[in-house]
Amino acid sequence: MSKKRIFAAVTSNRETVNGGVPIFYADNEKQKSKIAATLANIADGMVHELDNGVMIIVEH
Amino acid sequence: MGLQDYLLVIIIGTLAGTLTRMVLLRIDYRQYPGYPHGYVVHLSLGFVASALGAVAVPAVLAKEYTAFTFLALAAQQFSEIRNQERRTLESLEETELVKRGKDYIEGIARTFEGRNYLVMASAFITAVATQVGVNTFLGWPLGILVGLLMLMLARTFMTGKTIGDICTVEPAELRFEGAILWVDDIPIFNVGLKERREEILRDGLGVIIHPKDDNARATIHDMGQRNVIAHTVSVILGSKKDIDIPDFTPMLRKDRRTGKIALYTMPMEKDMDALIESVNRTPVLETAVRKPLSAKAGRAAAD
Repeated sequence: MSKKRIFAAVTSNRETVNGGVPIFYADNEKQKSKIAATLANIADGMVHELDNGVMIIVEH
Repeated sequence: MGLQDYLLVIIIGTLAGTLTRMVLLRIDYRQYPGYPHGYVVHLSLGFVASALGAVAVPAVLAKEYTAFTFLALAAQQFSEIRNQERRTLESLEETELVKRGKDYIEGIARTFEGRNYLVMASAFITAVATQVGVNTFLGWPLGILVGLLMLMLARTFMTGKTIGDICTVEPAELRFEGAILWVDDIPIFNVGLKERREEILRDGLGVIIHPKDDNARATIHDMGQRNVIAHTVSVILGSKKDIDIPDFTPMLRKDRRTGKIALYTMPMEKDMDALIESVNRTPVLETAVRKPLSAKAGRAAAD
């Protein structure tokens, strides 16, 4: 099985994520998905959304 | 016994073997080999194998028993073919978007090796029959008769099972609960982007694969087998997956309670009937076949 790795996290709420991985802050929901999509495109990764609205980009 | 009779034995035997190889080489759902040079390689090897099998008969009759040891040499060559096939497929695998998987490659390589033995046996038996025919009142056509019989035997016995034989495949609905994609009542994975979710609902297809019994359930539990289904479906229907869109990777997930399998795919051609057909026609891997029902404990557990 391939190794999975969280490449980055994108959030519009500064309190939900800190440390560990590169974190990108967005001003609103729209910007958040756009940043996530761009990052995923660059890293050939996939965007996942957590319950609290944080988006993570995972390399599969 | 003249030289001509020997020649007849060898020719009929070789012909029967080569024909068997041809019949077994027709392009199937494995989609391999799909190029002329691949055919040439395998047909030539099939010819060599059948010639060896056929020549063995006159050799023994001429009391040249050492000629028989050449068969052992041939066997070694064939296992080399298996390695070569494996290497080729493994190097192709790197650039494959939806992978065949190691199990499938091993299965294909083994099949290619096995078929050469089959061809050799078919040529040998046909040659024996021809020889018997020549020596008795039946005549050499006996060889042709037996050759055809061997051909039919090879066809019926060497065609493996398909998923359709051990499972029933039914159309299913794709839906999202939050970010999670579901195929009927089986969760598949988390899709973060809204546009992707809409695209999946618009263009995606899902089916549920119900195993017919406990043996089938154990077989499709095998990850290699599931890979083969994903690969086959992507080859036949196409896949929207690209290197930067892993979201569209075809995926198969198991229902923990019942053991049924859900398939999600993003085909280029959205055609449910074609999808069901291609899942049904997917070959069952020899290595994935499990038979818990053949064991006492397995039967007891199945009640």
